[in-house]
Amino acid sequence: MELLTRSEELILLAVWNLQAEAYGAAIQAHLTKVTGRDWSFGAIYIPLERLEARGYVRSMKQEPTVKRRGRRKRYFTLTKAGVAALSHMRHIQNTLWEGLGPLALDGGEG
Amino acid sequence: MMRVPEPPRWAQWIIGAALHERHREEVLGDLVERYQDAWEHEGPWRAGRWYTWQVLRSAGPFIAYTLLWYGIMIRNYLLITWRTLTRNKAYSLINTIGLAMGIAVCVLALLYVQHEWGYDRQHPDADRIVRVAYSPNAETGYPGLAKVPFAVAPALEADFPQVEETVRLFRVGSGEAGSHVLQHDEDLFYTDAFYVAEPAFFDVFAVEFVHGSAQSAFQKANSLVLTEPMAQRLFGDANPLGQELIHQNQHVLEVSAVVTSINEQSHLHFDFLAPWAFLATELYSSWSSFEEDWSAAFTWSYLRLADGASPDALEAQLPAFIQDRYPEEVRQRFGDFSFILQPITDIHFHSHLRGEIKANGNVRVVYGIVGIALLVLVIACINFMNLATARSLARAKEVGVRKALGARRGHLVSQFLGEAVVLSMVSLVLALAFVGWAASLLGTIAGVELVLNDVLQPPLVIGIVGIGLLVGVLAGSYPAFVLSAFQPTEALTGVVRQGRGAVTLRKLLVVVQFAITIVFFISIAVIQAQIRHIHTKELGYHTAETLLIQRPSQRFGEFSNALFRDAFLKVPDVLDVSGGFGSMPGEPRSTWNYWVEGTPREQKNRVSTLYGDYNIVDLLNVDIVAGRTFSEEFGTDDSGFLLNEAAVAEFGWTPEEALGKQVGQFVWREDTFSKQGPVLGVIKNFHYESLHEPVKPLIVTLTPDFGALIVRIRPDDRAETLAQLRATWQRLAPTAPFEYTFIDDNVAQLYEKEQQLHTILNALAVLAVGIACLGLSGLAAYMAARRTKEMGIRKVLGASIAGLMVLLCKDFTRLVVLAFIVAAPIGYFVMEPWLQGYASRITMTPPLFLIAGVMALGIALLTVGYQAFNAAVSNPVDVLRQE
Repeated sequence: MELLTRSEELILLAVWNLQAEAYGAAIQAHLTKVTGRDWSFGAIYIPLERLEARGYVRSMKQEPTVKRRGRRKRYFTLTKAGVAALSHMRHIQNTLWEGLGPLALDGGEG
Repeated sequence: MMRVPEPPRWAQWIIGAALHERHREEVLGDLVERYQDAWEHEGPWRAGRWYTWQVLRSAGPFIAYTLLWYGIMIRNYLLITWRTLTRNKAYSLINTIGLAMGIAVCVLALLYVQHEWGYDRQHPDADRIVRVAYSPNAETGYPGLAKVPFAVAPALEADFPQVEETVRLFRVGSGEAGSHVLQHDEDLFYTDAFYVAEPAFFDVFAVEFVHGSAQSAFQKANSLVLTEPMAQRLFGDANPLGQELIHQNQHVLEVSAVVTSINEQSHLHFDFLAPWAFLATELYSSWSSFEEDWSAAFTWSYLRLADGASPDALEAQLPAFIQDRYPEEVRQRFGDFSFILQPITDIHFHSHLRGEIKANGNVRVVYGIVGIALLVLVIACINFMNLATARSLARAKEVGVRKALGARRGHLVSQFLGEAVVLSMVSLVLALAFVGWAASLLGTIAGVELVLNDVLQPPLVIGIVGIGLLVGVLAGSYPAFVLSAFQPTEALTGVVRQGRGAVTLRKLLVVVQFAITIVFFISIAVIQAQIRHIHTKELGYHTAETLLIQRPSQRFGEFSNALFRDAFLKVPDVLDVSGGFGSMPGEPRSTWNYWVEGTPREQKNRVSTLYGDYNIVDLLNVDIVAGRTFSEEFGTDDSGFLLNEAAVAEFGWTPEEALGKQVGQFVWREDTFSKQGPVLGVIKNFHYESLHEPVKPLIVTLTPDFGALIVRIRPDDRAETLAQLRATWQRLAPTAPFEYTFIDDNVAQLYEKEQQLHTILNALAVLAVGIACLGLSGLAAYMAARRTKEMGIRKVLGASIAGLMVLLCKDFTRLVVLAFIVAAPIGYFVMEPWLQGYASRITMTPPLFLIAGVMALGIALLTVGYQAFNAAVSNPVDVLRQE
């Protein structure tokens, strides 16, 4: 199974986190809050298109709202494959971190 | 209701343009939403900055994504198009080849036009170079003269500061007949392209040096510059520099340089170029003041004007120049005349003065060729469109299915368009390959060098690609827009009700195609008839088996006609020998001034003249209408004249009245007579010039020992007779070259252009027919396919194969007949002006037109018949099972 890049992983996690509210603006707001950096929409949408092409997410279009000047929204949800990919990354993460204590500047244990 | 804030317009526009439609709406929406959030929390200004920053950051990546997506789309389209085309190989092939030929013809025509248009443009600052010439005068009928006296150019350079540089060009040997000879070692040959030029020639005209340079070219008074073809012919591959050539058995010239020939694309035409000093020190050594002469128009004079100077302004000052500079007595003698300054780039097309260096081109021919090429292209395009349309209707089912599955109309439109464009681009490539092959072929037919490199010029390439695109779009647009509008249900059930309009359109296109083709046929038939007329028409004199042998010039010794006559008559199969000059095919035009009885003494009548020996009229087999021909019995005949019927009519006499009337031959440029005597006889008009012109008045004057030798031989064993004549010649005049032509060959040469035209038109017609037939065949196949069920049923009900074929062909026959009705008057109106260019011409009779029509019909029936046959013999069982 292919690895996800860091950004992809973060985006997928955001989608998962936001559940039924996972649409573009919300994803961007969430990621900005969590990572402390203002995410560009290009950095979100283009990876999402790629992820959709790989089958990790699927998207649905919704009714437009007044707030968005009449433009529709597009909601994203994880597919089974997407969930599996995330779990896989988590597993790798855990394996790598296993047995390692908290990181300290002096490199010592404690 | 709170006002919903709007992000900066320009930023929205940028990001909107960068986005692909798949996600444009939602991204824009998301951006607006977050903008509004920012607006609420941080205020309008920060929100605006945030938005702008987002746009700037994302624009790049989004654009890249959009382009990538388009690329994938295009790739998919191409793939589908490719599959579609390969599945219908026959159709694709036919259509592509048809269009390719049409485009190729157009490209070839464009190349030809480009070549003709480029005459004399290769010189640096060509737009500043003009030629000084005597202006034609519409009132007096004076045709103008391309040459001017020697003194003109230097005087212009001295008097007018805007004249930067002048070049004079002089052709050696233009006066005497058959005297211009060059000798290298043992080789003797003639040339009529030996010129003398001032050193500034290489400065003003662009000439490429193969050997030597502009500095060394005219170093010595006896230097000689050759063109590459001449060097090749004389010296082969050996280095020509320093080699010696003997001119006119007198002057020794040394080759100083070799240049590439510019004769192909310039009104100039020289094979040999000697320095001006050669003229002064050798040829005109006895005429030391020739540079101050104002009366003899001997030199072509070119001026290069300073940057920004206006030729018109200079031309306006020339009348004053004439008043100032021309000696009084010259102006008196010539009366009113003026100069024109001809831009050198105009000369090839628009200058038809007397004394041109060589016959110039005709603008109308160029227009004609372009027109024809466009016509052929039109046929090809119509074809292409017709076939594409017919084909696409067969794909109605596919369209229905795709529409039912949700394909958007835009996609269908672009797919059909794309297919047509791809097909036309492939045709383009094929066309270019065809052009490459044909360019060399055309070179031999039309005598024009077309290099493939010319094709790859940017403007031409753009033009060609543009044509291809245009045709593709036009062809694809009908199926694209009409088909994609079908409702899925009707498309799926195969019940495609083709609108009345569509069928009519298709029939109209076929009619147009065939009409154009028939016009071609008519033109060819007419031209062929006229050519046959030219060849078989009684010219009024005997041209077959008659040689013109160039008499050796004085330099080789004294030769009299009698000497040659006695010697030649000893050769078996030689019937008669005479001498003659002027007014015959193969001889230069010769006119002179005469006085005739009954007109004022000073009146000079310019009449064509044939200088001949005693027996010239007999040898040429011209009929005598009144009086007699020259005869040695009458010692005074050398002051008598013969006139032709036209001359007699010109002076207002009947042939009987003319006998005995006095005629005086003026001395050149003076008022005394060199000869005066009675009219001895009147001869029948004969066509001594081409049939383009009516027979003009002719005076025959007795001048033995002048001009070419005319020999009539018996047709048997020509080669042997010629060999013996040559041997005899070599005995009598070993140093003079034996050069001859046959009069009937010379006559044929007058009509070289017609032959060329005929050949070109034949080629084009074959193309046009080919293209039209391709189209018709495809169409017929389609029509037949549509009616297979009907055919099947009729067969079951007992119809014969022949009957079915007739049924299918009837429709097309009607179309061809309609095309004929349209084409016949057009053909008439096109050919009538062309025929009017001939004084002696055929009349266009109905049979000519009918032949064209019948041929077209025959071809059409053959084409359609094949398809009809296929349809007619198909098994009804297979057909009916399709339901």
